Amino acid sequence: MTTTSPPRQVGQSPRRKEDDRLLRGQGAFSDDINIPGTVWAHFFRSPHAHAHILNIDSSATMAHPGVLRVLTGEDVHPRYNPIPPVLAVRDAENPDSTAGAPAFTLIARNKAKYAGEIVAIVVAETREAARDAADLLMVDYRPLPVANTPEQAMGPDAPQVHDDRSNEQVRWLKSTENVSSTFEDSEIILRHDFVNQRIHAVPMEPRAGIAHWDPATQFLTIWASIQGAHELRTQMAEVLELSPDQIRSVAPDVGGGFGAKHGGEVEYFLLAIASMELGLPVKWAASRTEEFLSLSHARGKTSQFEVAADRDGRVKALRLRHTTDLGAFPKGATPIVAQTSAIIATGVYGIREASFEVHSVYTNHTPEGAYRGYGRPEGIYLIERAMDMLARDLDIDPAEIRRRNMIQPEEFPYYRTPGGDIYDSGNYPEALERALEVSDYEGLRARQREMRADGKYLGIGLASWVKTGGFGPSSLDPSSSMPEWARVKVSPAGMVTIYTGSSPHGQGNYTTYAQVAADTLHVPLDDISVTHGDTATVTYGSGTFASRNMVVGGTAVLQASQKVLDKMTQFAAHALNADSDSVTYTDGVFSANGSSITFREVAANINRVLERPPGMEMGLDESSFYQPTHLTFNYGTYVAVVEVDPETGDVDLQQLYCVDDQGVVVHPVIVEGQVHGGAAQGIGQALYEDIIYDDNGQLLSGSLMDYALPTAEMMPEFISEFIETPSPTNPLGVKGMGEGPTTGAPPAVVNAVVDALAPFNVRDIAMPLTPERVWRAIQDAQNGDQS
Amino acid sequence: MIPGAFDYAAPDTVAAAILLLRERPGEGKVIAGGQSLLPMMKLRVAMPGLIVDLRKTRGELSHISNDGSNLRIGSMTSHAHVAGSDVVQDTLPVLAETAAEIADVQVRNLGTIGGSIAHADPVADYPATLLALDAQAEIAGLNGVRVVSVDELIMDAFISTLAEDEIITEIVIPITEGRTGAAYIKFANKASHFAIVGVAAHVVLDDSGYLSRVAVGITGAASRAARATAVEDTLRGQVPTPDAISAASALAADGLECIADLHGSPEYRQNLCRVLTRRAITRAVERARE
Ligand SMILES: Cc1cc2nc3c(=O)[nH]c(=O)nc-3n(C[C@H](O)[C@H](O)[C@H](O)COP(=O)(O)OP(=O)(O)OC[C@H]3O[C@@H](n4cnc5c(N)ncnc54)[C@H](O)[C@@H]3O)c2cc1C
Repeated sequence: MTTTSPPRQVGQSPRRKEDDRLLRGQGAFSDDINIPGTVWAHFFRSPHAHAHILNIDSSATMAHPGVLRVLTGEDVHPRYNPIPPVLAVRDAENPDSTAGAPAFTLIARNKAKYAGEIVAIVVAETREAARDAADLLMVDYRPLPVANTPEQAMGPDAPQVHDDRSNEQVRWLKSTENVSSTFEDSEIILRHDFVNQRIHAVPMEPRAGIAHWDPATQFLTIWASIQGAHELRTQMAEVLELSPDQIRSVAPDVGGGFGAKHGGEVEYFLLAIASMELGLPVKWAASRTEEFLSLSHARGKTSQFEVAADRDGRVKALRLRHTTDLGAFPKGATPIVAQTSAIIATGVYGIREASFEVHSVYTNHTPEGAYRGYGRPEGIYLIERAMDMLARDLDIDPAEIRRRNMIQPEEFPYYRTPGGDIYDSGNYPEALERALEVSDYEGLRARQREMRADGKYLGIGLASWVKTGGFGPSSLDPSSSMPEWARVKVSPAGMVTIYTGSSPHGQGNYTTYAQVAADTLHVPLDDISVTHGDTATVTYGSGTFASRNMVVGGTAVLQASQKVLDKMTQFAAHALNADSDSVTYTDGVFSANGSSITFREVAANINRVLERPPGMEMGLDESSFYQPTHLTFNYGTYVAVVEVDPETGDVDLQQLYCVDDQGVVVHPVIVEGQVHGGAAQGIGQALYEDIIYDDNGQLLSGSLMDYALPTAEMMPEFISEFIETPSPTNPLGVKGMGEGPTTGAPPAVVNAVVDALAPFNVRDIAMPLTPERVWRAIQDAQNGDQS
Repeated sequence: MIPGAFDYAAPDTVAAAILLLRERPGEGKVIAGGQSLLPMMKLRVAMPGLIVDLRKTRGELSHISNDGSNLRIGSMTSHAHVAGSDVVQDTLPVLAETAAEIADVQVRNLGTIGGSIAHADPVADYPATLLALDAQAEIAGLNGVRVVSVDELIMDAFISTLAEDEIITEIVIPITEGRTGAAYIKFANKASHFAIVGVAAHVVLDDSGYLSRVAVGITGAASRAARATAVEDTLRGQVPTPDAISAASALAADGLECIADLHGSPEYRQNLCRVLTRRAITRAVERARE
């Protein structure tokens, strides 16, 4: 069969199909779902980071009007399982890797391991009664010494977070053969310690959920603000010892996740347990402060970084000791984040020798989890800051030093890094040159010189970065292969419904999946709808995370659409009395032998027994799994322009020029939106956001009054351009892209600020670059204290 | 974020509100815009048993007028109203400049000048400017009306000298004639956008270009807003050259016990006091010369 398409949808920017309803406030988020007879849960959380729980007296709470039940660890632990750990360790062959994480306890029993850990659940007829009654709960604690930093927690005599294991969960080593000798032979060695501070994703919608156990049918339904309904169902079944067939899990409209809503959240299991105990629907909606205390944090890493180079700035080897603060429990696969983070530290450069030493450590902090970038922003930050330091030491322009070190286009496809990543495709120098051109880099440098003469401090920062997407391929550890599923159904009226297992919550896939199907089936976008986020209607789903939706979910949609088209073609061939090979499909019309039949006619007639070819079943309803074989690697070069007020330390981020290659661009406006949003979160890390604990493990920046989440007015002008090197890994030629900008923005911005302050001899400033830190760096540099 | 239970009343007059407060000693709290009180109630830092809502007294308490020598602003006047008022623009534009710096549109539409002062938040914007302008507050109580300076009204962080059953009714600000200028410069914390330090300067130049009046109010730096008297004393009677302004501004943090929080150490706040004082006086002088 040959097909000629109407104007392709892929590559266009039709208006997003999902927005109208949401912009009118007509969305249905978890907190909007109401079932008659619903009661409310309030989670009573430990005020101590580490303490024995000696006694819980709930008599006053139970006596409060409207209170139905108080559940504690004593009630929950004997009857329900903890959330099973994810055992995957990236390099199973490595003899020095250790695996086996502790299970994620649902609720504290005997001991609280972080401030915010749930100690009791108060269930009452109203939300207010549950909240008021929680104030009456009497808990006796004996505070314990706190494991407050990974370094301290790894040391001798450190307080043990888990009684049955050491604080160091993962120690992992990986090295190419000649790292030491390369360092010994190198003329230039740069050593620096970097910090990627802990931050919090702050999804706009705080978590909420409602669990409904129906004792009559022995069936649980849970609506929750999560990134993957199926994953929650799987975990729920294990925790509750139910069959997955007894559970329906729904992710309704979800107001952002960014990784933090990926994987089990203890609250949802506890809602289900409370519902099973009471036989009533139980609901909860988190406050923002609750989110800061208990929705996972991320990034928290300290790194000792060394690079060996020659006098021309060609980097020969790197050495990295990377330590991550896991918090009190491993959420999902977080113990391995530090590994993926470490190995990407060779960045876009052809560095041949590298050694990685990774420590993932438990502390009495809020558990870490995934967050847009999943370790790669931290790794890229190291090499991109080091490149700038090296450039300055060797008096080479930051653009030139990058140019000299980049992996060349002819080394693709499938370039293997010393850490074991396999970069699929790209042209790294092209992205760099394009970024220099778009930003008028030479012009910026000239302006910088003029402004310095006037006592003004302009800074220009580059970052060339690379980031994985399209999780999870079969070429990695088989246990981490994650296919995606799609179903495409055409109704007798010719309307198309796509079912997808990777449910969008802001990513725009309602529109972009429709574009993919439209190009195959030649139907208008208005005739296509997308169903997702409900285990009752969607057979299988790995979920939405790790820049995978278009690569994995989109390809599954493409495959299922093709299956539908194949069946329609066979039907058309029969109807037109032709061979299916001789049928052409043009603008929604099948033709052969001078006659034709439309898409709609096929859709209608295929349900009529007399019109179908013998043996063909009625209906147009096909599904498909897509299992990727490789990761995709999007990349780019960003240029940040800042002006710094040296008297106050205030940073004015003026422009961020972004050149991104994410393979084929399905919807340019959505992709640009992802660049803006991802970069905004990266800018947040660079300049503003900081999870701060005091010496007792108390979270100090636990509200938006103290945690500086950037607002629109703190954003620069974004100038976004794309280059398109199709990925060879998938038929759409797309690469994941949502996490790239989060990876590229922090080093670009920090490099720009440090560049602005070169006249003061400032060499480094730790993120976030708050006004006070910038001001201090200037003071210290002027007093001769090198940072 | 659910406040504790409370009773609620919305009386029609200030007098009725005072009586209600009187009936429930230790329990009652008036609510104006609610932009400070409600967050505290949601955090359960404040748990008043009775909320006396002043919204029906807006006829009495929300207004802006010029009585010839003073600008009079009713206590229930919103920040947005002050920021957009022509009367303020014609008399003391620095007040509009200050009001426009407060929070965001939603907060400015609800928050009131009376609430801001009564709340005595050490990082609020209005106090810097009101101190620099020698503003006074009219306060209604059971025994009638008393007038105190805003300086006396604000005692310390979140503590005012208001009695439990007193209500601020009006803010009265003298209008200066002649070659006068003022400016408010805020350095906001990036999280809450409250001031880390905010400085208001008000100057009057005499016919020969000497400073006959210089007043500097600083908010955010210490546990309450205060006048930078060392700066004022140094500069008064001088010609405000850049060097003179710089030299005087170096004293801006003198006598202030600067606070430490996540957004700024005492040393950093001292630095901001000096830098912002210099910038605010410089701008005020430029405006006076225009
Ligand atoms: C997100 C946010 C950001 C903010 N940012 C800023 C900022 O940048 N700068 C700034 O200055 N402020 C800021 N605020 C505070 C805001 O300006 C408040 O409006 C103001 O501090 C209080 O005014 P209100 O009318 O809302 O008072 P309310 O909250 O109603 O009351 C505050 C206190 O004053 C008492 N009170 C109120 N009116 C009277 C009266 N007439 N007589 C006696 N007592 C009274 C109340 O009993 C209460 O104790 C912010 C608030 C929010 C929510």
